Order: sequence, then structure tokens, then C-alpha cells
Amino acid sequence: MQQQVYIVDDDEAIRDSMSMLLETIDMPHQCFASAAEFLETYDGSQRGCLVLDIRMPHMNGLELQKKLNELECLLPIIFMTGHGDIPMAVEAMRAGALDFMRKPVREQDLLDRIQQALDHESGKFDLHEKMASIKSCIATLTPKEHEVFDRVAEGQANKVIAAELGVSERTVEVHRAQVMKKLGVRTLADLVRLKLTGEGQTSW
Amino acid sequence: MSAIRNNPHKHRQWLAWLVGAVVTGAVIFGWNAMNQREQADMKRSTAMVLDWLETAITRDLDQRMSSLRRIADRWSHNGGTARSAWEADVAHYIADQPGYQAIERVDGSLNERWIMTPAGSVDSQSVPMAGPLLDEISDRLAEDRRLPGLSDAMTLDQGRQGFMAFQPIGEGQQFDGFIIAIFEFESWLNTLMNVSNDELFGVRILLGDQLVFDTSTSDNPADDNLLQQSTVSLHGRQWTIAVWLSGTRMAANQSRVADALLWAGLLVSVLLGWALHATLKSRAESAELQVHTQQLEAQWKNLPGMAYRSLAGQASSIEFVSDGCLALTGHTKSSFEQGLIRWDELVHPDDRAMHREQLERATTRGQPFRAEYRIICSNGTEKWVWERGNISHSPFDQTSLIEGLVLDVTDQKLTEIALTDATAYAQTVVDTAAEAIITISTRGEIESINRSVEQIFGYCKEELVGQNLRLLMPEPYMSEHDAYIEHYLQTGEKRIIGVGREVFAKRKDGVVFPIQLSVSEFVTKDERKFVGLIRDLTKQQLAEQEASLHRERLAHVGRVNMLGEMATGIAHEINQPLSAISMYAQSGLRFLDADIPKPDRLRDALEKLSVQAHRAGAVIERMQQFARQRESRYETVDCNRLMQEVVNLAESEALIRDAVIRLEIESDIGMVQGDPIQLQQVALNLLRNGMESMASIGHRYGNHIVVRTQDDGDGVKISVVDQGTGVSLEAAEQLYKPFASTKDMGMGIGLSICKSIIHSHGGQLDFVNMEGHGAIFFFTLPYTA
Repeated sequence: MQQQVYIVDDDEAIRDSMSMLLETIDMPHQCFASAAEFLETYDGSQRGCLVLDIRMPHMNGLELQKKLNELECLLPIIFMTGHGDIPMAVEAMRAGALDFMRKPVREQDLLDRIQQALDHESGKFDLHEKMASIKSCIATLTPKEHEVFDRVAEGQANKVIAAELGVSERTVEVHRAQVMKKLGVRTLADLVRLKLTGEGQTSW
Repeated sequence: MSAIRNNPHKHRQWLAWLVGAVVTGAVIFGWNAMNQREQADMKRSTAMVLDWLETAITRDLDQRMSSLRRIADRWSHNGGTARSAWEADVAHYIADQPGYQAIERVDGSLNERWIMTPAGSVDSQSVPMAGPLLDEISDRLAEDRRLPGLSDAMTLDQGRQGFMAFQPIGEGQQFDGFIIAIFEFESWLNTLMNVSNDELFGVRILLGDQLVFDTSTSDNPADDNLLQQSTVSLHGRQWTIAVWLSGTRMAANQSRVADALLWAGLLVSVLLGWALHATLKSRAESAELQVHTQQLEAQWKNLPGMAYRSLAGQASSIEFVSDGCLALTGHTKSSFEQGLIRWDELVHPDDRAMHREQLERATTRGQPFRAEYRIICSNGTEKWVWERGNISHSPFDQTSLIEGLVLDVTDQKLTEIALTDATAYAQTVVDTAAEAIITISTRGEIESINRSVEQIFGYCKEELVGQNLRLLMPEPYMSEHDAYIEHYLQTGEKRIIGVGREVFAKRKDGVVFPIQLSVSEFVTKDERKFVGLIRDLTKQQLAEQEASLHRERLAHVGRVNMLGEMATGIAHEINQPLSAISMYAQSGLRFLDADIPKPDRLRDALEKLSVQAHRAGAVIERMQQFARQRESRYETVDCNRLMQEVVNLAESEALIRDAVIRLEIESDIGMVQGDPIQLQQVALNLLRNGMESMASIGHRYGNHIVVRTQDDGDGVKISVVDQGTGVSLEAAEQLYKPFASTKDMGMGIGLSICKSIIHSHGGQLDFVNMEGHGAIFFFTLPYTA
């Protein structure tokens, strides 16, 4: 799915003017008048970033953020805040917001942040994709192979593994070759990196 | 002298004849004098009995009429009462004053009759004299129904004679029926005196020309000279009372004929007659005195009050008092007659000199006297008495006798004093009142004024009394006032009487000034009058203007303060269009600078930018309007529109506080008069307080707040219903006090300003806590008349 900017603001003028601004750089975008309206269309497949007004009636920006976190949404959020909303902005950052901007915003800053957010999101998305493929590869391992994989990744020698699992060193070697093949790696270093990536322990 | 010496027998016979003639002459003189004194005595005591009877009847009727008037007044004063309450009231009167056959209330149409007898309440059908009574009431209605009075004599059941007393109910021109008392002569008079037992005197009473009471069954008074008669007018009826010595007494009188026979015998034998006459004379004298005294005692035994006979000039020597002295003074008859107590000593020290002087003057002139004074009884209490005395002279010597009657008039006197006090009190109030009080006649002429009139209007009393009230009025009242009175007298339609109104008056120097005028009407015996109570409102109006100015200033401070508190919301509200403007402008620039310029999009951007600029301007304009200091100005206000504006003003703050405002309007409410900005201030204040209250508990009960307009009959009611904490008892006490705030940042003048604003609009501001949580703050604004 193509990346888009999702604008959620109860003020029609803000939505419209921001929409026009994004139009100038041919950025695909979509506007929503309330949090509820956005949640209605959200199904987890959306790509891109969110520009959220922090103050809205019924459900405000913070509440929407919380809701999206619960849904394990990956879209980065840029909050638009008014005068005197610093405590709310801090809370938003703590809850994982990418950034917040005070109104009225400088347009170039806004566009830059949006671009950053989109880049961030695509990186995050790629990693996510990678992790998913690794996880699916790991899922093809037999239980025995999985045990050998875990121990090899921790740096244990074949002899030690054989003793621990109560099998012959030869058998361990066979399993190890099978694991390398299934996961598509050739060196031990690749195998370790793959395992760490799959567990989300590498920061990008 | 020689002839005498010559015939000693003849001399003795001549001497005897001389002695005889002298003695005879003396006897004739003595007999005649005695007879005259006897006659005078009898006349005097008859006159006294008559006098007493007249007084007793007059006083009793007066008392009963005023009792009836009190019952009637109470009825009109309370605007009627329940039957049981009325009967309980009347039962007291019947018990206190025996002699009523019944007391009755009839309404103006004679349909409703409540009747109370000594035996209790009865219905109108079982009243024995129902027929004649109704006829009589109808007659009374045909006559002047508004005057109290007595009926003619009428026949009650079983041929007994009776009469009725009427007292109309109603104030002014109002007529609500009568209070009627029914009396039967014999039982009524029996409460005044024990007539039937007294055989010494005959009594006959005529009401009008009809004989209504007669103790003599057949015999007429034998000697017209001894019949005393008097006619008095009581409550519009002629009463004739006749008193005479009855047969027994006459018989005693006629025994004097024997004296005459003895006198004849005396002529036959001078010496024998002289001796006999001397003996008889002394015996007769003492016997007569004894009989006379006994008779007097018997006469007075049953009468209230006290009769006495004493020697004039020497107050100590009371010869006789009736038994009534014990009840009146607490001293016994004998202590008076033995000279242990002098009447003079009983007279109140303050009245003693006056009493003595009256007594002396009466004695010197030999005229009867009347006096009213206080005495001190044996137990120390003070009583008012009424005394009436006659002076008579003994035919034998120059001593003057006083015979008189002393009655206890304490109750009557105390009532009189209370009335005098009340009058004096009322006069003092009128004199010292700050309000001007003017009494005018139905012709509009000023009859009396109080001191304040002089101060307020600048005229002196002499300039005003007798003048037409117009003098004190500006146009148009001046030329129309006579017509106002005329209109009222003809139609009875009250325009100002009993209402009270703000009008204008004119001072002597021509200055017209505002007054509060209330007029009441009162009816005297034969005239209607109007009393006007006038309060000078000049100062009050100045004070009101000043208060209004203060209120406006304070309200302004309140609004500025409130705007300060709302700064965040306002900034937000202005930031929105500013953000949009900025983005439209940037977009426009980009459309212009693009490789392929897009003029259409640029135009679009500029148009939208302009709209947003106006939007920001409107916000500022609204705030400015709200914060502007200006003189309070009343105009016709549509509360629904006003509340919509209030909600607009509060919207941005609601957003900040996460509150949701709902406006519930009743579409067909009327217009009110008021200052729109001040009214908005009140509503906004209540709305913000409600939102704050909800936010302070983190919207635990919800975040909705309702602004509601309603028609409440007399005006518009505007309520703000929140879901906050409600108002605690401690907070309620401080709620409207200036500078008492429960908020950390508040100045504490908000609600006190609101209250004073609403009061100045003639409305009320209040609150109720809702069950569980939340409060409703509301205010009312009356429809203009």
C-alpha cells in the first residue's frame, strides 16, 4: 500500500489548508474530522503517518493515540498542539509520538517532519516485514532444529550442544547444516544477526 | 295684765288655748314638713332607681353593640372564617355576657344563616322566631344596610317580647351581611337587675311606643306624682323607662292618714293632743327613718355598684351604703357606716383633689354632679368608678345630704384609655413618619397633612389645607386628578387605591420629583376620605443610579477578569484561523512558484485565507464586545439567541476542558428587557463554573453540560445543568460573598456580580444540587409588563 498522510482535526479550515499544502508537494493524503471517523476506516493496512490535533471534542488526540497503540499500529504520529498544551505534548511523546508542533506551524517544518515520519515509517515497515519473514522461516524449523539453532546462536560448541541434548556430535552437525539451509545463511555471524533481528533487538 | 290678774281661770284657759294654738300650729307645720320630706324622699329614690336603670341599660347595650362590632370586624378583617371557628368565638361572647337568646350571622343574600344559642349551635329552621326574624332582616336590608342598629320590639315564641341588634359586616362599601343578636326582654333585664323580686318599685319599659316590659300585672301607679319617667334614644330607637313606687310602698305611705286622724283628735284635747302628739312624733320619726333605711337597703341589695347617703361637707359621715360596697371596694358596709373608712381615703391620690373640688362645688350650688375617678380597693387594686350624686337639704336644719350611686366602670374606662392611647400612637406615627401623609376629601381638597409634607413639598401647612391636591402635581396629573376621583366615586374601579405606584409630584419651587404613592380610602360616619402616603424617591433614584454605575464597573472588572481566565481558550480560538491562514498563504506561494503555476489554486487559497482572516477578526471582535466598559443599556433581548452566543464564547474553553456543551432551547419563549452583555456575562460565568466543577473531578460523572431556556410563566428561566461536584454546604454559605472563592486562581467576585446583575433585572439567581452529583444553577428574568 502507498504511503499517505492521515490528517485528523476537528477544524475544517485546518484540514483544508493542510490538505492544500500537501497538494503543493503532491503528497497523497486523507482528512478526517474526528478520531472516530479515522478509527472507522483504520484496518491496520494503512501506510504513512498521522497528523493529529491534540484537542478535539469527544475523543482527543491523546486518546486516539492510546487506542492505536492498543491496536499495535505502526503509523508514526505528529501532534499539532495549541498554546499551553505542553503537559499534553509531553504525555504524547511518552506514549511514543514522533513529534509535536505548535500552531501556527511553519509550513516547511511541517512538510519536513512529515517527510521524516514517512521515511521512519518505511524503515520501520521494512524491518517489520523482515522480522516477519525471519519469524516465518524460524517457524519452519523442527523442534530439534530449534533447540540446536538457539544454542548455536548463543555461541555453544557442537560438542557441548551434543552433550546437553544427549545426541551425537554428528547429529548436531546435520541439524546445524539443516538450520543454515532453511534460514538461508552461510556464516555463524549471519545466523546470530538474523536471530537478533527476529527478536527485534537491533535498532535501526 | 290686770285682766289676767282678775280672772286666774280664764287666764289659765287662755294660756291653754294659746299653748294649744301654738302646739297645733307646730303640729301642722311638723306634719306638713314630714309629709313633704317623705314625698321628696320617695321621689328621690324613685329618680335614683330610674337613673340607675337608664345607665345600666345604656351601658349594657353599648357593650353588647361593641361586642357585635368586634365579631363583625373580625369577620371582615379575616375575610370570613370557618363555621366552627366562628361558633367558638361567638360562644365566648354568649358565655361572658348572659342575656343573649342567640347570635347569628347571615350573609348578604340571606341564604346562609349560622345561629349560636347558649345551648349551642342550631340550624335556622329550628329557631322559634324564624319568621318575624327574616321579615325584620329584610326590612333592615331595604333600609340603610350599612348602619348598625336595633330592631323594633317583636314577639318571640310563646308571646314573649324581644328585639334584635344588627351589626353590618364589611369594610368601606362592601356589604357581607349582618351579625345579629336576639334578646328576650325579661331574661335580658334579669341579667341587669333582679326585677321580679323587687316589689318596692314598679318598672315599665317601652321600645318605641310598644310596651315591652312591665312588672305591674294590673294596677297602674296610683299617684302620678310618684311616677318618674325618662325617654332616651339608644342605637336609633326611643326607649321609655318608667319607675314608680309599688303598692306595698304606697300602703306604707297611706298610713300617714292615721297621723292626720290623730292630729284631729289633738284639736279636741290640746294638752292630751300635745302630749300624745309629742310622743307619736318622736316615735314616728325614728320608725320612719328605720323604714326608709330598710327600704333603701332592700332596693339596692340586688343592684350592682353601690348606693350611698352621706352628710355633705363631711366625707366621713356616711349614713348608709348598699351591700354593693363590698364587691366594689372590698370593704364591708359596717366599716363605712361606723366611720372606720372614709370614702375620701379610697379615692386615688391623684384624683382626690379633683373629686373633693367637684363635691364641694356641687354642695355649694346644690346641684347634682357626676364624676369619674379611680379608687384603691382593699386589696390594693385600682378601679375606675363613675359617680352620680344629688344634693338635698334637710327640712329641719341646714345640713346638706348627698345621695348617690357609684358604679364600677373599670372595663369601659380601660377600653377607652386603650383607644385613646392607640389614637395618640397613630397620631405620633403620622407626625413623625418620614413619608408625607395627606388626607383629602372626595372633592380633592386637602384636609390634613403631616410634618413631612412641609419638608418634602416646601409648603407650610396653612398654604395647603383647604387647597385642591392638584397644587402638588405636575401635568398631566394636575388637570386630570379631579376626573380620577370622579371616576372612582362613580365606578368604584380602583386604579391607584390599595395598589401603590411610582408617579411624579411637584414641589413649591416647581421642581418635579419622583414619588412612591399609595392611597387608601376610609369611610367615616357620613363621609369618604382618601389618605395618601408619599415617599420621596429622589434620593432613592440617585442611589439606584449610583448603584447601577457601581454594578456596571464591577461587572466590567468581572468580565475582564473572566477573559483573563479564558485566555488559553481564546488563544486557541485565534490560533486555529491563524494556522489555516499561514498554510493557505504558503500553499499560494508554492502554487505561484511551481514549475507550472496554478493560478486557479492560488485564487482558491487566497479566498479561503480571507475567510479565515475574518474568522479571527470575529473572535477578537466578540472578546472586545464582551470586555468593553460601557454604560448599562437595556434593550429587548431574545434569550435563545443570547444563549447561543454564550455557548459560542465558551466553546473553545469547553474544548480545552474536554467538556461538551449542549444547548436546549424552548422555542416560543417571550422577550425580556435587559442588558445583553451583562446577561451573557452571568450565563458564561455559570457555564464556566460548571465546566470547572466537572473538570475538578476528572469528569467522573460525565463531561456534558446543558444550557437550557424555559418559559416559567412570569418570565424566562435559564438553567445551567452540570455533572460536577455539586455545591457543598460550606461553599453554599460563601457562594455569593464577594472575594470568597473556592478556586485557587479566582478573584471570587463572579457569582456576587452575577447575583447583583440579575437582581437589577428584577430576577432571581439560585441553585439546586441534584441527587448524587451535579448542580443546576439558574436565573429568572421577568417579562416586562
